[in-house]
Amino acid sequence: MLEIKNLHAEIEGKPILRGLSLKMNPGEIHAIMGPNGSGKSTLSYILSGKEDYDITEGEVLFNGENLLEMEADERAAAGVFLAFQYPIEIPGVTNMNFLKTAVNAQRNARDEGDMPIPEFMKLVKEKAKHLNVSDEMLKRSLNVGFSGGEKKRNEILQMAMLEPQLAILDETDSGLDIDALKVVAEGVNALRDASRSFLVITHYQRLLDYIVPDHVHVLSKGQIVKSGDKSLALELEANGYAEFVDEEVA
Amino acid sequence: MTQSNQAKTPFEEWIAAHANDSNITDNAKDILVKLADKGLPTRRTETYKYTDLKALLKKAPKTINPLIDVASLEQIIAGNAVQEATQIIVANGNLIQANEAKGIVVSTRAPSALPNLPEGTETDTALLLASSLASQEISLNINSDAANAEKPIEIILIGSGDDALITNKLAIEVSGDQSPEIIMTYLTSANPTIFSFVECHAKSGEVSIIKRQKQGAQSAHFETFVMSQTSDATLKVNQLNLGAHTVRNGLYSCFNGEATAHLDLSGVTIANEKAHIDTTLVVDHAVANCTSEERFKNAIGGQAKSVFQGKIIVQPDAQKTDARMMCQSLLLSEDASVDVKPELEIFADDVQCGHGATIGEMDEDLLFYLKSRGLPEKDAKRMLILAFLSENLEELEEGIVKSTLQQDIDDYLNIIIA
Repeated sequence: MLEIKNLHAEIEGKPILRGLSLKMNPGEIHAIMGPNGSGKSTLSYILSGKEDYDITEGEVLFNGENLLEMEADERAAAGVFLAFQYPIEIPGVTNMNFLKTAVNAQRNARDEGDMPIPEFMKLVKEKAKHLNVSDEMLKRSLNVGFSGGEKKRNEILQMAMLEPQLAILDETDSGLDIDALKVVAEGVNALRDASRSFLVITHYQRLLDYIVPDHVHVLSKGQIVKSGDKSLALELEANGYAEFVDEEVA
Repeated sequence: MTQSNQAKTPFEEWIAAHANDSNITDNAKDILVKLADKGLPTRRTETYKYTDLKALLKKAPKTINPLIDVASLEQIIAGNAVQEATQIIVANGNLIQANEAKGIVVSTRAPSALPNLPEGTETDTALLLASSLASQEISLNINSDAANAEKPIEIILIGSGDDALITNKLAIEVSGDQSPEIIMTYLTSANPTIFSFVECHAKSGEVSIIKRQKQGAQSAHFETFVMSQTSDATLKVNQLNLGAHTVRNGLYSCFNGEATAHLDLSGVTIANEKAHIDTTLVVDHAVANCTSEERFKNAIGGQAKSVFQGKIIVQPDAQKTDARMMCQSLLLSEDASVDVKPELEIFADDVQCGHGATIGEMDEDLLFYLKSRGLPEKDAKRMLILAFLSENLEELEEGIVKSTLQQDIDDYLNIIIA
């Protein structure tokens, strides 16, 4: 479903990704772990279409299509979703209105037409309830005055409404207490099915206790330097990233 | 300060010639002769520092306040009026229709001499031209019998004609506690230049006046709005500027009542192409215990230019004044520009005064967030601009007027966001 081949990317002349390759099949959960500055967030931004980066080499195929040639909104409509590490606040746009606009924008891009309002309302209420998103949070401006946990739950609510094929979670666990972490993880697990894949980016093994990955990759200096199953995450938790960042430390 | 060393423009020649017209009053003649002699204000006049009127208004008008037929009026109004409002229609300066409603009295008379004018209006061209060239003075009196009226009142001011010069002179007086919202909607066809002088007197209660400038892109709009408030009246003025390519909004307020009055002024401007939109305001606190707040928001694209000059004066007797002013601008293109000049003149010592201005570009991170959720760039931009501007409509009561203004902004953004 997703195939990243020898991806090189830089920002303002500074190389960030240096030959990253990754293949994901439908229904799989892949975790990417790595030290600060290894390129984890860059990878998530490049996949979702942020324009700040220069791709100098390599390609990304999403269901056989060249993802890098698509605009961010086209990627969203094709089924790519990024849960932001730092969700953006937008005063003046209510959360509910935003959800409706986003759902309908994607449906219209796929020629499906607007979702009927009663159907939309029913769906939002149902999904919001599972994620502890209150009616009041739906009426407020998007993410304005939300706590860190509320923002992350709101990201998962958007994901649940948009039903992407590839969901990228960029450090969704950062800033969450253990209860909020469980709610978010349950929200993600509820969306697991045979066709939907998740790319989970995290520093810590803790999130992976709740969202159990099929594959774990270590990203260091813009490359995947080691891959394994979920036990690799435990190994990293015990030993840290020292093994992979030696050179930088020295 | 004569500017006779500069050659007269065709527009100034036209004013000079018009001063000799036999059917104008001596008073009007006097104003026109002075204006023609002095010439239109240039950058050398402080209040026109960023709006060189002499350069912007060169062309001589072909006609003044020509007649319009009813069929074309209907065409201009269609789809642009506030639904269910009590309509008062003014076409090329003349009252055409005033629908009846309880507590609303509309009348016309020959234009009167200039009233005592507040500071800053001496060089106000719209005021001088509208006062001297208006064919009639229209007064709208809203008394307490209009209290709790469910329908808003909409004054539709239409300007029409090729290179026509249109003048409106309007006096609005409101008393009573629950007066209906008053909307002034400016509409045009062809390419007229409209000069309006509006006097508004809030005598009591809470008075809300909204301007919807929805003129055509070929037209120009000059309006001088002079406000006065007595006793403990609250005056709320909201201005929407969409459409005309050259705009000067002059807003002058003077507090001279006995008690605590409050003024709330806010405005939304959207400009593109080569539009020049100037808002110049003077809020003069002459007596104690009054409060004022001004909030203006601009979204400027193309090669358009927005000007904001805001002056707050606190006179020696105006202790306990609380006056605040804010102007925020969003630049939508590389070539758009904004000039902002706040001025505070404070002569009392126990007051609170504040002013601020921000100028920024669209936040790329916000744009990316919206696009990553599937919104095409155009829709994402429109959503962000609408959110930025709508904050200035928050003070309005929920209802047909507020939703009409939101729709006006949305429709206009739809046209200008490529």
